Amino acid sequence: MTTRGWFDTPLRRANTIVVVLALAVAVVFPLFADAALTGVGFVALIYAIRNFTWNIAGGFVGLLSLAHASAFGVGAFAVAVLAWGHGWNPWLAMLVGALAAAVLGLVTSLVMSRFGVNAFFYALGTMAITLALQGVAASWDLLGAATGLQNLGAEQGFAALQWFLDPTPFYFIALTFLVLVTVGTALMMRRTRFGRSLPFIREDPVMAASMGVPVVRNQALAMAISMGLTAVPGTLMAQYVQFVSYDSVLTLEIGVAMLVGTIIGGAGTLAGPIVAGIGIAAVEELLRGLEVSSANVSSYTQIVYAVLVIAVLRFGAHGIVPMWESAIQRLSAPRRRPPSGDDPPLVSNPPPVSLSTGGG
Amino acid sequence: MSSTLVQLVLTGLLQGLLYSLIGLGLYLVFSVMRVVNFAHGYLVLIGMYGVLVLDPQNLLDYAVALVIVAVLAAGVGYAVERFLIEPGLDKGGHSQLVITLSLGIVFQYTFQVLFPDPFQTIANPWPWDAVTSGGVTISVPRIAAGVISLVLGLAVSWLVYRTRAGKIMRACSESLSGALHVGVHVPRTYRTTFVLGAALAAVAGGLLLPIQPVSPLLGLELTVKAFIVVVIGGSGALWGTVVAGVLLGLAEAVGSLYAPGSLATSLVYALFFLVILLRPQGIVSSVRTA
Repeated sequence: MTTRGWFDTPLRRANTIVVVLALAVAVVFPLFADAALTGVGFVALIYAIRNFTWNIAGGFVGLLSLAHASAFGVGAFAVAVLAWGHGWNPWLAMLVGALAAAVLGLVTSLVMSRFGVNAFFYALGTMAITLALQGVAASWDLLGAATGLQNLGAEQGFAALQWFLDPTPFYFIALTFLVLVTVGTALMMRRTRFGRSLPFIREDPVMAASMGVPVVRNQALAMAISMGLTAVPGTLMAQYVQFVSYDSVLTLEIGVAMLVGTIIGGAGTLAGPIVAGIGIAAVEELLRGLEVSSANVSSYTQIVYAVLVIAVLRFGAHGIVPMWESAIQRLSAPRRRPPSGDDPPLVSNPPPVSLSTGGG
Repeated sequence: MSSTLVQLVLTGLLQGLLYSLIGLGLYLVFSVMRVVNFAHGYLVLIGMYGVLVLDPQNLLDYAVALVIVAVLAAGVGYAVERFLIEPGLDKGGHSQLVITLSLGIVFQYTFQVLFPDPFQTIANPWPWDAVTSGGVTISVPRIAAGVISLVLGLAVSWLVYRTRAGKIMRACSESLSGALHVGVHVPRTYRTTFVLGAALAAVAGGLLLPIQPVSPLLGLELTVKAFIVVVIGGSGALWGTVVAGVLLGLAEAVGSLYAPGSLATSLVYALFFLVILLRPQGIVSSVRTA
């Protein structure tokens, strides 16, 4: 791959610099952080991953799904039942969990399309799925019922996907997964016909169908990919916490967090869900640093988060990343002349460009 | 055995009437404004926590407390409608859905911080405890909640179908452009509707509190139940919502006889999913004869 196109506009230059810096910081972070802070970093990456994977169906295709909470739970329960209960290799259990979640997503989407439900019923229907599965998990002994499942394995290392004292390996596994998924999604969205069809379907499904895009099939595939990948952070979280129960990994709150997190970061962008995921983990940690009683930390975080979302939507913005992009474009506007860029501007009287209203 | 069943059916019926009342507020907002209020269950919680704080000791205090929480929730509803929902109404898309969802989160965690002890309740404000007849025992707060819900439901029905304000609300519901053409002040109608829905929710919460202890998580559960009631009831007529509420209450009560608690709720959700697929227009569809 060439670097052509990475530096040719101010926005791309800024983004390239930010991405490189962020990756560098992410890689060296565990070297300077103690075990507890690395754990926070791992949780931040989990938030980022699940926001990102939700975004594949929710942001790019516009399917407001709350069934992704089930996918997260399926990933966690897969490793709890298969690896902790039946001695499977956790990596294999992760794969099985991802496949099961993908099938769930595929079937959900196909059924919803078959009956032609609208966006509101899509959200309600997927919510019903998650709540029904939660009820099943809460009453089925195989899934730990009300008490949950505990990992009693004593083995440590990469094959067992388990480290007791130092979460650094977990951190790097999550980081690697996030980078792979991001690069893969970026390539899919630009290079494949399937990926390019997704925003088209979101904007106008009827037009897309009339131009030969298999709308139902592509929606179902996007849901399958999105939910299958959402199972992976579920598995990682379960391995990290070593405990799984219906009210820790299969709650509607997780689904809402993914939806809300993606929208605050910028739905349908690549970086938005990641920024928002890491942001909320940082806010959580900041509040924990202040003298807030520990039981209230997550409450305050949620409140801050929800207020931000309301503010973002209320004032008509599309999230953090789109705001950043328009800010960069506005800042660089005086130097680059609008609108047809190629020929150098004739030096005459330049129009007055103010920072507050220019650009756009 | 049969007295157990009678007891369950009666309990379910009374609980169902309360669900109807909660669903009515959501139904009004949904059908008049076409807004899906995911924070509706938390308006019920305002009523529950409001009465909990006022802690009424006798019937008169309780009645006053119900009025106070209704006014309080109406104020909150007005602010929410005026400053969060109304500005985005013409934008369309999913922003209403996500805004009300986030608003629900704000409410939930604010309650979590303010009231850290879960499952609080108040002493029975009614002078009697329970009515027993032929092996069937029903607590008086439950009977009162059911009966008052029914009365309020009838009152709302009278308001919607027999008064000028109701006619204006129905006009907005049936045709927004038509309502605009005949000079209806649409924003004012929307505000009235939302305020009414919020007040009804808070009263329902106040009635629910002596029966069911309150905790912040209850808000989401009640929102979901209100959705179930509205979706199953359909958009055509108000009585569909009432019938659906009673059906939900009965299904829960009878379901608890055959399946353990959480599995029964699973069944309810699975049925709800089927209704969304097979009959998204609900029991009473909005096909009109005129």
